[in-house]
Amino acid sequence: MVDDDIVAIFATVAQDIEPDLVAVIGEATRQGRRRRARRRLAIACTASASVVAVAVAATVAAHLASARVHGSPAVGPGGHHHSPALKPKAHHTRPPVPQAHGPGMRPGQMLAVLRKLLPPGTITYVAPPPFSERGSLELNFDDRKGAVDIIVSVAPTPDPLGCPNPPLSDEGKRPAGASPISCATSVLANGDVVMQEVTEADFAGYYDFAVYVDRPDGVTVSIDVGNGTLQGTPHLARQGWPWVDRAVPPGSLAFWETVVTSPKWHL
Amino acid sequence: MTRQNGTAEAEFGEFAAAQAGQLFRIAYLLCGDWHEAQDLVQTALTKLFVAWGRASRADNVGSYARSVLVNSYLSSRRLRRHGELPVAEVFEAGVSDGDADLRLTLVAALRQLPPRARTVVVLRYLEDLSIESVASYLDTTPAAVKSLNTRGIAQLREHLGAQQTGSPRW
Repeated sequence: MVDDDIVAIFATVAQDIEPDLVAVIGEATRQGRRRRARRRLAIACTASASVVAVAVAATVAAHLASARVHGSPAVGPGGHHHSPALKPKAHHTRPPVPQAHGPGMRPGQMLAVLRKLLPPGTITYVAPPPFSERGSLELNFDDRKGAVDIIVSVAPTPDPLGCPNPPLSDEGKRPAGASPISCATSVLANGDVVMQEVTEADFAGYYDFAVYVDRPDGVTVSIDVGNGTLQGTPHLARQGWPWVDRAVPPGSLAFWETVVTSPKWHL
Repeated sequence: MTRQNGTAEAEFGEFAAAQAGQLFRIAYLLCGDWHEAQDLVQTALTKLFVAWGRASRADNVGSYARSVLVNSYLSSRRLRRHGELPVAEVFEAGVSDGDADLRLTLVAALRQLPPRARTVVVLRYLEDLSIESVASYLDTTPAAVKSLNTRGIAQLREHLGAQQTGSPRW
């Protein structure tokens, strides 16, 4: 039995606290959208979508096989064959995920790998848990043109990759000179399925270069490179809202694809 | 959002609007800081949004949300053992003038408790949760929660007594 006097104190104090949380809920929703897109913990991955994906995959696989003989219909900046949505094989047919390295890369391990892959610049901040945890690393990187937020995720492949349909639209004003919204998927020669995306801008004008790779061994690696910072900068210590530092994230989609397709990432 | 589900997002919005206030009260008593509590609620709601497909199928979504909040708080405490502000310096725009002294006294007393003991006391006395429920939130045994609760309440009474000498409550 709890002490009545202490219960009464807590009840009185609780009645005294009436916060306005509209902005908090709004920002949580916006950040949640971004993080869900990043980690692809999708809500709406239906069985029918999987069936369609398998059918499309079969068609595309045949098409690509034909294209190798007769020429490519569409080649992206990375020299890949692009398609609006494709999947080389059904998710459930993937081989078991190797677990030799334990339940996931620790943030420190991921940081060691990423340091070798980043372009010239400085890592100015590494986010603590829950933003960095096993299989996920968030940091700020500055190439002397403005600090940006980078999130890397290494996880067992969830649901099949697919570009947003209908296409995304900006919530806020996109910075002048920003890259336009885009999304394309491709299949590499080794069986990797890659999705390159320039995301929508949020209310602050913040957007990402996002690149995902689904590997044939059942591992998905993703990276999100923003045009500003989400965490770690002093002016965000209380507000917690994005800060846009530049019109365009550093690097290019093709460059970040080389990062996520590195064999150094593992579960 | 790469794979958007408007219905699920609407459900999340309704849930957040209904529950955020109580989540904030828990967070505020855990953190003892208005802005840190806002950050904690935002972090918990963000994580909940990401996992909404799973969370919304839980038997008790509210309980799931509290679990996310508590775990986020304890994770942050493990890494951040500094930076707490004196309660009197905190700007608290959403607090009424009703019983401010009592609130500040309670917050100050709670801040003297270790994070896990503070969590146990807040969940027990604000949320009126059973020992077993609190144990599930903390992923520990009921016996451990009883121990934390006993020591926590003893410390709380000691601190409250020291600050509220002469008060009929203590």
